[in-house]
Amino acid sequence: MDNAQLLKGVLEGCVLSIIAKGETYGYEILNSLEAVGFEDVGEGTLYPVLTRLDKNKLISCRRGKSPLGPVRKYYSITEEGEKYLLDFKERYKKINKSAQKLLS
Amino acid sequence: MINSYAMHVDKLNPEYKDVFTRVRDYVISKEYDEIKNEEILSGVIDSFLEAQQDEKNVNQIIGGSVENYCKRLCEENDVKSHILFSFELFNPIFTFLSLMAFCEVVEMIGKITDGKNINVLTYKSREGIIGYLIGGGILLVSAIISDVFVRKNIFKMSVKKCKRIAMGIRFAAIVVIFLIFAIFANGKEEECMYLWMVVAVCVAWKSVYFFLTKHKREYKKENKISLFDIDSVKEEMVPFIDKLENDRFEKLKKKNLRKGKGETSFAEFLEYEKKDLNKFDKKPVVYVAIAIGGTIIGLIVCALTGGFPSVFDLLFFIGIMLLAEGVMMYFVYKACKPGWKQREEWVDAKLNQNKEEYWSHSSTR
Repeated sequence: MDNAQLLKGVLEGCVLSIIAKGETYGYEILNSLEAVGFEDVGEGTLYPVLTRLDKNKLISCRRGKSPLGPVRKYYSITEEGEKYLLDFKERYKKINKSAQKLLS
Repeated sequence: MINSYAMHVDKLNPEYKDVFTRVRDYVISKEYDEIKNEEILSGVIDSFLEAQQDEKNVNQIIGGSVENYCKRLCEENDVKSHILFSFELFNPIFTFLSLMAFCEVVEMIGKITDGKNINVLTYKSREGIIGYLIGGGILLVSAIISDVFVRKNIFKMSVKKCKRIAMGIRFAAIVVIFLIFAIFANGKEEECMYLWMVVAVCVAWKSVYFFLTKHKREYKKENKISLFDIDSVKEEMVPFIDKLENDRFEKLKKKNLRKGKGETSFAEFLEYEKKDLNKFDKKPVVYVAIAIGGTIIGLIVCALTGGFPSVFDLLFFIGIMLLAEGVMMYFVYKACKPGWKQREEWVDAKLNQNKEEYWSHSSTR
C-alpha cells in the first residue's frame, strides 16, 4: 500500500487544521504540509481534498489576485468546518491510541 | 474571466511550461466544465509560478509523474458538466438553425404581405431538424474521441503532434457531416417539418441552454478582467500612450502657435486632454445615433433610387440596417473605450503629479 492510500483520511483533517489557523491558499498549504514531513503530498493530491472540503461546506473560498498575477483561491474555515475539525481530532486520537497499542 | 491562466504561461520557464501545457491539455480534454477548468488551471499556474520563484524542481510539485498528477487533479467526475458540454457542442448548430428559421419566418411574412395565400400552420421549413441533430451527434462523438485520444497520448508524444491528430479527428467529423448533408439531405425539402415546429424547437432549445448556462454567465461577469487589467498588456501600453500623448502635445503647441495663442504649457495641454476625453464623441449615445443616422441615409438613398416594393420590404430594410449598423457601432465603441480609459488614466496621473509638485514647491517656499 502506498502512502497516498494511508494518508487519504488523515489528510483532510490536516489540511483543515492548516486552514483553521488563518486564510491561506494551495501552495502555502503544500509548504505547511511539507514542513511537517508530508513531502509526498503534491498539488494533485491536495486539489481534490480542497474541492471535497469546499463541497462539504467545511471551508469557504474567495478568489483574489496573487502577487505573481494569476487568480488565486484563498480558503478559510467555516463554522461547520471548525466543528468537524474538533470531532476529527477526537476520533483521530482514539484511532491513533488503538493503533499505537498494536503497532508499537 | 475564463482562461485567465493563459496570460501567465509565458512567465514559466521551459521545464514548468512543458509540464503545464500537458496538464492543461489533459484537464481540458477531461473536464468539460469551463469554470472548473479555469479554477484548476489557475490554481496550477499559481503554484507553478510560486514554486519556480522558490527555485523548486517541477517534480517536487507534481510528485514525479505528470500523468498521476493530472489524474488526481481531475479525480472527481461530474456528470452535469458532461451534459452541459453536450449542450454547448450542439449550441452552434441550433444557433445556425435558429437563424435559418428566422430568415424563413421573415420570408413567410413577406409572402403573406405580398398577398399570397399561405397557411401558417402548414407552411413547411426547408431545414431538416433530424439532419442537424445527426450533425451535432457526429460533432459530439468526434469531440469525445479526440479528447480520449489526447488523454491517452498527451504523456507519450509531443504536445504539438497530439493536438494536431486531435484536430484532424474533429476536422474529419466536419467533412463527414458535409458529406452526409450532400448525399442524403439534398433535395429532401418535402420531408421537412412545419416551420412553426422548427421555431418551437429552436425556442425550447435556446431557453434550456440559457437556463443551464446561467451560472457560467454569472461567473464570467463576476470575474471579468479587462484586457488592460493584465499587467503585461498595461506595461506594453504605457510607452504607447506616452508617445501618443506627447505627439498630441506637440501638435497642440504647433496649432496654438499658428493661431497666435502663444506657447502652450503642459498643464494647459492636460486640461485640454481632459476636456477632449469628456467630449460627446466618446459617449455611447453618439454611436447609437450613428447607427440610426446610417439607417436614415440608407432609406433616403433607397427611396431616391426606386423605393421599396412593399411596406414589409421597407420594415425589413430598416430592421437589417439597424441591426447591422448597431452591431458594428457596438464593436467600434468597445474597441475604442479601453484606449480612452488608458488616456484618461495617463492624464489623471500627470495632473496628480503636477498637483504634488505644486504643493511640494509651495511648502518649500
